[in-house]
Amino acid sequence: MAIDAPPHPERAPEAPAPRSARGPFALITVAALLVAAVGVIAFLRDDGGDTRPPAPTWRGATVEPARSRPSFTLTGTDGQPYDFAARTAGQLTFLFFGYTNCPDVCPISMATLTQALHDLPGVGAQVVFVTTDPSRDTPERLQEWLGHFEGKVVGLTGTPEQLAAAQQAAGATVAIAEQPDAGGSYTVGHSAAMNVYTPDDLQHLSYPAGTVQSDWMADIPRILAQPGWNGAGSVRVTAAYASPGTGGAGAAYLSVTNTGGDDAIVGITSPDAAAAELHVTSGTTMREATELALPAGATVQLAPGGDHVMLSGLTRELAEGDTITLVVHFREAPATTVQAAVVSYDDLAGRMAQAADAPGGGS
Amino acid sequence: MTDRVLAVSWWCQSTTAPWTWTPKAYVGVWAMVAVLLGTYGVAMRRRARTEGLTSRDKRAILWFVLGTLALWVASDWPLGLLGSGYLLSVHTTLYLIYTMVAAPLMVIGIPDWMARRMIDRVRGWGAYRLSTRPWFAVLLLNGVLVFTHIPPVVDAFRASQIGSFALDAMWLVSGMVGWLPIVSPFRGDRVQSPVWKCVYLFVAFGLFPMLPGAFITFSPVPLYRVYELAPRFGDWTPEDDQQLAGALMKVGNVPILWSVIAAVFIKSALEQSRSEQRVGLVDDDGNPVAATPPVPPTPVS
Ligand SMILES: [Cu+2]
Repeated sequence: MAIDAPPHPERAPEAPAPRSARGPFALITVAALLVAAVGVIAFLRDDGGDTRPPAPTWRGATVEPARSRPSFTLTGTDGQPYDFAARTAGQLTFLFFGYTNCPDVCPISMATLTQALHDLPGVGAQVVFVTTDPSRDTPERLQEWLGHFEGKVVGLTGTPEQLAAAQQAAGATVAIAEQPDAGGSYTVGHSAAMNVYTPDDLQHLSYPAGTVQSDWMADIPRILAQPGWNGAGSVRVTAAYASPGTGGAGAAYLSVTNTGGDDAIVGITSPDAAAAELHVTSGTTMREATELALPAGATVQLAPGGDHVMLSGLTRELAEGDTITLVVHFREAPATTVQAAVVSYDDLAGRMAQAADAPGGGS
Repeated sequence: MTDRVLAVSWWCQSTTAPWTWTPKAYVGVWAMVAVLLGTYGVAMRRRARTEGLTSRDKRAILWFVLGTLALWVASDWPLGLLGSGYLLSVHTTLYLIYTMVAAPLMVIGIPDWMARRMIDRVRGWGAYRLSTRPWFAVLLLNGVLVFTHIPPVVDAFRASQIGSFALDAMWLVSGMVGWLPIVSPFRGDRVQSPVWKCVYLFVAFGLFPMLPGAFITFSPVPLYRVYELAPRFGDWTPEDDQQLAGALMKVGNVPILWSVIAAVFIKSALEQSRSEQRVGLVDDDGNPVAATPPVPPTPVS
């Protein structure tokens, strides 16, 4: 290179470089840099994990045989009873037992999961946090703490006996409070597992402490694409969105994949709207349909500019960031409950296109 | 990773223990600083007794002590622990301190006679010669930069004291090599032309950090398990931390790098005007004067 320095009288004249000394050093350095380069390439290749076809390997531990969705009724942060099995039935659900004073595992486990769900558009899921420290975790404290995380997290508490029963029902080791220190503060030893229940109301997977956001981002779409885990037999709602609605009317859009035999959507209902109608567009006319065919192997989209779900008599205004519950009824498959995210009309087309490309979303 | 931070240990490493402001002792860091300053002091004292210290030697002592202090601050509690176990942005800051502050100051702090003895003792002339080659220095400096920011590498190295130490050592050595073409103890081995100096500085220190910087900034998810799973430091989320780290990687070097580039230019401009003055090309105000005395005007008859 041109910037090599010319010889200079100050250079140590009594110490000429032995030619042999430079060889091994250069070799070692070049080898080390090569190793580093291979490392970079390996990492970058590994990072493309999302594009791999679903493989039966999970970042979490498989639960075999699968455990059924536990039944317990505790108290929500609003003071009302919350029947876990009934309220979360048929939905992808994450259940965690912990406490708000936890210095490490609880806040980090909740943060990595909720952040991942936030970054996975169109995935509807329930996240339920059950305290193992009812004396310090008052409903107010629970609500305030859970407010730090993305999205809605259901916080539950109860008597020590109820809480122990809930943990046992979920197959978790019952938490034990450690001895308080001089200042009266104490830690609670508890199960660090994030329990995952799929729409078939079974637990196939359990994620240990140390599961990071990218683990969830990789696994959640695959969980939803797993045949047989998603309740509605071979029919799956892969995306659900609604546009902002005012004056009691709104529209919702769906992407539905049928990996089984011929089926059809025969109706939509919503606890948040008086009526939900299937509207199909043929040519320039739009009409209400009583059913929408779901041929075997097809992905059917109700996307902006075409078919949609017409909502009327909304019980509340729908603003961006809200969700609305939709129940999709099929001729063959069991009904599926989904949480449709409300996004701006401009975003809808892009989100639906993305859903069409999602794993298991068909071609 | 450990589940608690010991009151006394050798080097900082990642941990799952919550951050506290209770100081921790890192004996290895103190030992490193003591050995560096001790051997340097002994060498200087011996030189003072035999040949006496020049004013340049005395200035060198100041630089070396400052460089070692920077090294100490970056390695010891609290920065060292925050960087190895809690915040990626501090990890990145430590990289900048090691390579842009500690490394150049320490190299400037080593006079040529000391460097000659050091290199003689370790028979390191081959390695030294290679290190003064700009292409090699750029390669080593930035190879280490990229390698020490690959997520699985950081996770693995930061998980143990020895790994964390190795990471820090790589940073210091690659930083010193990176600065050799500019501030080698042997002036003749430095890049001579001010323009090439600036080009070298920009390529070596300014260009490559943009790659990991962009990679870190544009990642939609936290990349480093060690920092993502670390107990929270205040209200910082791993996303905030990673964004700041990416920004630091991209522009954190700007103040130092561009100050040095500016200094190189100003210095060369001053030297040029001084040498022009010596050969009588400029007058005391810096105005160019003709090489030959002007011919007095021919009187008009
Ligand atoms: Cu905990």
